[in-house]
Order: sequence, then C-alpha cells, then structure tokens
Amino acid sequence: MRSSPRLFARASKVSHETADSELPLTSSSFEDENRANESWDLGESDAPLQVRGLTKAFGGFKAVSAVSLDAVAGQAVGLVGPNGSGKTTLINVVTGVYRPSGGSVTFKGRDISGMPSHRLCRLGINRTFQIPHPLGDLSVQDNIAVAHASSRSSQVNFDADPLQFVGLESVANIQASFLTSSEQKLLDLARALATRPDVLFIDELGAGLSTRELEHVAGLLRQLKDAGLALVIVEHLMDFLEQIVDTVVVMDAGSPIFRGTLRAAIADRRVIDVYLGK
Amino acid sequence: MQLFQYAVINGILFGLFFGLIGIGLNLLFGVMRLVNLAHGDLIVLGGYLAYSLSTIAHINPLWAIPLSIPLALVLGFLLYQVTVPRLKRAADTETASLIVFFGVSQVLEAAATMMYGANQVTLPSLGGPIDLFGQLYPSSVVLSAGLSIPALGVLYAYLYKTRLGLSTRAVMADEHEAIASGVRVRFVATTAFMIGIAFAAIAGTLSVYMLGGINPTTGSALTVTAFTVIIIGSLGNPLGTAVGGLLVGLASSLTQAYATEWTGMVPYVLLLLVVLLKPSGLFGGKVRRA
Repeated sequence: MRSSPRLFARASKVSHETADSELPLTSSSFEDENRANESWDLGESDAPLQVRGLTKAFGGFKAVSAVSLDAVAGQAVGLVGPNGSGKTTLINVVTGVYRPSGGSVTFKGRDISGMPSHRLCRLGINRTFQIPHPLGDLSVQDNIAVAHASSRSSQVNFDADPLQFVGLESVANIQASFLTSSEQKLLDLARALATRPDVLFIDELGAGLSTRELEHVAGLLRQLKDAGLALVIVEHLMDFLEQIVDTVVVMDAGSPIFRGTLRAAIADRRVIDVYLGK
Repeated sequence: MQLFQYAVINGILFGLFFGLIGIGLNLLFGVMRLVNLAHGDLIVLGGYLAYSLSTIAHINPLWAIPLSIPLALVLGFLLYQVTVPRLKRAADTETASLIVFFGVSQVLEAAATMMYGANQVTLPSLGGPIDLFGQLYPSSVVLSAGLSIPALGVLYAYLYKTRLGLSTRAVMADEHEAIASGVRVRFVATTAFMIGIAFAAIAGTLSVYMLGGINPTTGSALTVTAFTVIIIGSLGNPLGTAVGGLLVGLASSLTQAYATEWTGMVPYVLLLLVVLLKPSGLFGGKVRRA
C-alpha cells in the first residue's frame, strides 16, 4: 500500500516523457477515451507557469473547462479558437481577474491560483488587454512610470526602455487619451513590459492593426521571445501568429481540442470542424 | 475701483479656503468614487476641536491644526476600514456611499449638538486687521487663506512628486488599469482616504475663523459648498478644485460687494452654468478609447 503512490508517480512521469517528445508544451485536458494519453496531468515540468485542470464556471456555464497549459521561457504558445471558446476567460483566470472554480495555477513551484492581479504583476506575470484602457489623464511617460514603480528584478534578459522598444518615445509627453487606438495597444504592451514580466499574456494585440503595424508587432513579440519571456498569445490572425508561435492550443467551448504546430492545426479535422462546422 | 479691488482680494482669500474644503472631498471621490456627504461635518468636527482647545485647555486654537492631523488620519483609517470595503462590493458604490455618508453626517451633526449645543461657537480674533494693497482685512481671514496655500501645495507635491502620488493618480484615472500595472489599490486608496479626512480637519480649524463661527448645521452648508467647488473644477481633478475654489470665492465676494441680496445664489448659478455648458467641469477632458 505504502509504495503505490510512488509507483504511480513513476508511471505518470514516464507517460509524461513520451507525451513530451510529441508535444513539447502541453497535453490536452480531454478525458476522451480516444485521447487517453493526453491526460491533463502533465506531471512535473520545469516550465515557470503551469496551469493544471483549470476550470471557470459562471453559474452552470463552464467558460473554461479543465484546461492545462505550460508557459515556457523563450517560447510562445498561440491560443486560438472561435469566439466564445474561453480564451480570454482563461487569461482572466490565470492573471487574477477571476478566481478559478477548479484546478490550479503554479508559478515557479508556488500555488498562485486566485491571487489578485497586482500581486501576480509583482511576481512576474502580466498581460495586455483586448481593449486597452490607458490611464487617459496621465502622460504616456507616466503610464509607464506607474508600471515601473511595481517592476521587479527579472531573470529575463530584457531591459530596453519599454517606450523606445514599442516605438512610442516620440509621444512620451502626450496625454495618453490622445493616442490613436493602435498607439494605445502599443502603450498597453509597453505598460505590461515595464513591470518586467517573465510570463506575458497577449490578448488579441493584432486585432485592428494595419498590415505594417502587424509586422512591427510580430517583430516585437519575436524579440521578447528571444529575450527569454514566456508568451501566451490569443489571436485570430493566423498569418500573424505563424510568425511568432512555436505551438498552438486550439480551444472550443472551454476545452482544448488540439495541441501542436499551427500548420498541423490548420490541417486537423477537429479544428476544421470547429471553425467551419461539420 | 476700491470696492472692486477689495472684493477681488477678499474673493481670492475665500477662494483659497474653498479650495481647501473641496480638495479632501475630491480626493475621496477621485480615488474611490465615494460621495462623502459627511465631509462638511468632518470639517466642523475639526472646528470643534479648535474650540475645545481654546475654551477647555486654554491654548492657542491654531494648535488644533497639527493636533487634528494625526487624529484625522486615525479616524480616516477606521472610517475606511468600516465602510469602504463593503461599499466597494456594492453594485453601485457611488449611490451606496451617498447613503452611508449621509448617515455618518447625521450622526456627527447630532453628536455635535449634544456636546456643544445648537448655538454658534466662535474663537477669539487672532489680532488686528492686516493691510493688503492698502486695504484692511481681518487677520484671521488672511491667516486662514495663507495657510490654505501650503496645505494645497503639500497635496500637489504628494500627487505629482511622489511615487505613491503617481499611483494615486493612476487609480484616479482607471482603477483596473492601475491594478494591471501592479498598483496596490487598497493601500493607495486607504492612504488617500486618510489624507482626505486630514484635509477636512485642517479646513475645520480654519473654518471657525473664515466663517466667523460654526454650529452643528454648518457642516451641511460646507458640504454643499465643497461639492459646488469640485464639480465646477471637475470631479477627480485636484488642480481643478483649487481653480473651482477661487471661482466660487470670487463670485461670492463680487456679488456680496455689488448685489448683496444675490450672494447666496450666485455660486449655484455658476454651478448650473458649468454643468449645462461643460458637464465634465472646467478641467474635465474627453477620453478617447481604443
């Protein structure tokens, strides 16, 4: 009796390693018989941020259902899926906007499930918003200064000036409410970077940007990845995503239905069914 | 011309004081969206402290200013802990806070009546009149207005020159964005609340001089004046409050000089005009959202 947990641990580790060779980042949350090997129990991993079996229910509606995800330093995961598939809700739960209904989030071995956003920010987890709300009464510079005030010493090799990095240094002294919507999106990214995160969630940064702006932003995100940040990117624009991500997780109705490269995802039957209908 | 000059200087003196009574109220509204209907009564509480020091302890009532600050900070902390976390959970914080602080206001007013009676209390004059540009003004008025300037300056320095002040302005601009930037909103809000109450206490001592005396119902009148000042100058904007105070002071003083019977009405006509012509207040800006 005594040795059984130990045996179990060993067995799960083996299954994790096999899964690892095929899917470097994550495995599915589906407890489907066909994909029994994609159990959500990833076992141990050295990814700094580990999401395990995360569930968020609003009343009887499960917006996010048993999702597991690893954010690995120097890698980018794309989170795709039709509208309402739970991508933003997942980000909101992980970054402390909502409390999870089940499952766990650990960061560097510490359980951070349900921790409020400002504390996560100080630990090294931040996000950008689908619709940015800059501090409109403050100058662009002061928006960054607010975030700087809560920055931390990060292990990530990124110490560029956030405004220069995103290319907003020429409007640094302008009141933030006067920025165009794409400038507000860049400011939101700079704001998140000023807190010096290890893990950064990007929620539809590309939506509404012009082709040139998209190229610029894709370049920025690649640089962040190379600097060692762990990125999780929610996006509908596949061409944009292809330039950045290593793998994607496709979600439908709150659950992941596919994990792998973006190329493989586009060819996958289940993914096509979700997007185009059966 | 002499009358005009007198009215303008008198208006500026009162305007500085009005700015001071508005600033604490605006800090509470700006940071936490709290409608503090008890603001005037908290000011009067500070006034009664000065009165007690003078009559019971027989020391200079101006000592009430340094004494009332730590007391107000403690009172502010307790009042925050009791009311604000619950108010923030309410579906409509602004309306709920209006009702709660109306209750606080009534309690303070009743307590003041019990302790000090319904009659006006006054403080002895601080000395002879002071000459400003060739005309004489009561020394208590000049001194009170003069003390408003460093008080407003201290708040300005706090908001614009310190880190915590920057975080405070961030919370004023957008609470959720501030949270995303790592600002500890609860700490910032508690501090702002305590400072707001401390400013009410400072204004309290000065109010006895500026108004010639206080009684338990003075608080409600001061609350109305303070709201007029901050709405004219824009809710949530501390610089606007100083300007709003000066405008209300000048408007009252000029009407007092030229059309005395209209004095009670003019500040509110000014308020109506501002609300009709520029509903966000003189310093309220439009915000463009992405």
